[in-house]
Amino acid sequence: MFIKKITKTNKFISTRQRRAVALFIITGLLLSAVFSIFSNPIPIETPEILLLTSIFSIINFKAKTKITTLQKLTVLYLASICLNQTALKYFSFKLADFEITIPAVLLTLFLFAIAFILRKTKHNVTPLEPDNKLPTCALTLAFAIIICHSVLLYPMLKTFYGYGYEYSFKSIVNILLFLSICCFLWPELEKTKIRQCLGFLFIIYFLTFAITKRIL
Amino acid sequence: MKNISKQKNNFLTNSQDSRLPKAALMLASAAIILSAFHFFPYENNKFTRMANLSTIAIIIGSLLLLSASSRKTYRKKIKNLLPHISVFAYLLINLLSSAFAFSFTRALSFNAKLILFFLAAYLLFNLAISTEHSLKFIFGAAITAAVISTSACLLSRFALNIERFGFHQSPYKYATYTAPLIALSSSYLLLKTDKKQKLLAILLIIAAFISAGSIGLPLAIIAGLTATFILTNKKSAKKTIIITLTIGIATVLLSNPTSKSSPFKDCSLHELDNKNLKQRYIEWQAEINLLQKRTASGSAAGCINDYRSKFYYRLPKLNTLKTFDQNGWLTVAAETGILGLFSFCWLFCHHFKTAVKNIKNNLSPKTKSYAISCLSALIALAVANLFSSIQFNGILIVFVLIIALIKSSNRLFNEVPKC
Repeated sequence: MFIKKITKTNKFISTRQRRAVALFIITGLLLSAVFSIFSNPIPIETPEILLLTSIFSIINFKAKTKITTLQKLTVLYLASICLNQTALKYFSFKLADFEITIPAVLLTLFLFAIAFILRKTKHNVTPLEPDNKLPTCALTLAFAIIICHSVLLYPMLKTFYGYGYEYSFKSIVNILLFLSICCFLWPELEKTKIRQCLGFLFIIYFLTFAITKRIL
Repeated sequence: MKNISKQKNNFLTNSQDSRLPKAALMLASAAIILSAFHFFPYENNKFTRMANLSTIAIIIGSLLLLSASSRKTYRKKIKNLLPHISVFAYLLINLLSSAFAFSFTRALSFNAKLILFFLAAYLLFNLAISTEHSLKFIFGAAITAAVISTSACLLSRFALNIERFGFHQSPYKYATYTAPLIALSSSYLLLKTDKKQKLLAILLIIAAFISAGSIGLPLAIIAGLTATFILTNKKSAKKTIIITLTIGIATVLLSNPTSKSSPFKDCSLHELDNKNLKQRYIEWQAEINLLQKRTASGSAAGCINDYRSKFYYRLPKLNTLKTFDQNGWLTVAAETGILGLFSFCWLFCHHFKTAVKNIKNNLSPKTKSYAISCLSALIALAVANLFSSIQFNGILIVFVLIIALIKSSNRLFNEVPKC
């Protein structure tokens, strides 16, 4: 009886926690979506493709594993596109004599981080299957390529033109932001409901893009 | 110890089923050997550049696979030969990135090429390699292609005095095509006991060093053969590698540095005026700059030229950029965004791990030579990709061949055959 009670409590915590995680992530992406609809730094020439893939991401397939991983990757890609729209927008405010500028994407990332911490602190969260773990060696290689090239280019550009690191440094910081997105979002996409909720959000988002593009 | 030579694949359970792998083996070998001729004889025709002889062989093979897949028994077998999820992930990101293409048709044709090679050619190669004998046959085809390409280059550059690299017009394309093939075939031949085969390997390596027009070719061969040197236990092979590489490096160092197609010019930091930075490095910077604004989307698959010039920030003073003088890794990142680069790295990492696993699991020295040469070729491919792109038309086949060889040798030597 006592054991049953504990299991029930754990189950309750797990459901509540799952909802909280989903809420944080969806709020974050919703904020980015609203931002990017008003400011459109990257032109999406054919939003219909992204609309179709958003529909693909919400389908429940009987055969899992490979297709599910591709669906997760699709949602991750669409979320990255959505966040990329806000990556070049900044909040600036004055604190004493200093003007502080924060990239808008950090706000979304902050909500992702809360969701990630919430998920990690509880013991009753099921661990990821080895097949569904984000291949860390590939991520490391991808970032090593960009960082090594930037470091290599710095002395060359500095010697020949007197400038070097400014642009590369911005690019590296931006890429690191996207690394965080991959790390925060990938484990959450394990849950089908979160993936489907995000899929619906992207359907609305890219449908808006497709319609407004036609009007313009 | 496993008796690997007697091990048979599921396809060879009866004589009727063995027809498809045999036909696949013929078409795959033809595609590999014909790829050495690049776009010959219709280099200036856009249509024949897309549908060159090698691609035609793959198209015929894919039609054969399509007709075979209508049968239920084959459908299941073909399904088992599909590439790893990382390949599908890479294709998916490429397809999605076409939403951002300035020229949709260009992105579409690039994606069609990727799908044809990563799915149709991969399946054809995988289907062709059903026994150790057929694996040996495919290695033979790769050696033939390497010999044709290198000897044609030597002939055109030194006997006919033509400013081209055999069947390839660009030194970068020649380097990216030849380097992995040379690493694959020379590693395989050097690990053999036959002296004639060893001599062929030595000649191939030296010929490649002499004919190099881009620094990518010698560097990729050195990287590939260093891997073979580390992984093999054969002392004679180690000695031969050291001697051959020393001769090769000496030939490059002794070559005329003022010659138009000297590899020295390719790796120098500055232009001929000694004032300006070589445009290759400005291009690299532009590709990284592009990632700041288009981190997620990129410029769309195959469409880097539509956007690259907008991201120079300081225009190159001397426009000396030769065609195909790119960096494959950065091009993937700039074209398909950070997730595209991630999936491309995933593809590489997965096949690298599989190749290492093949070497670890292979107890027989005979089968180990296949595994070592595949890893050596993959490393050479990764290095060659720094100085050009392995995704160009006519070169992509080598990349697909190497990943198919790694996967099929893993299937042949590590998996227990089903009864």
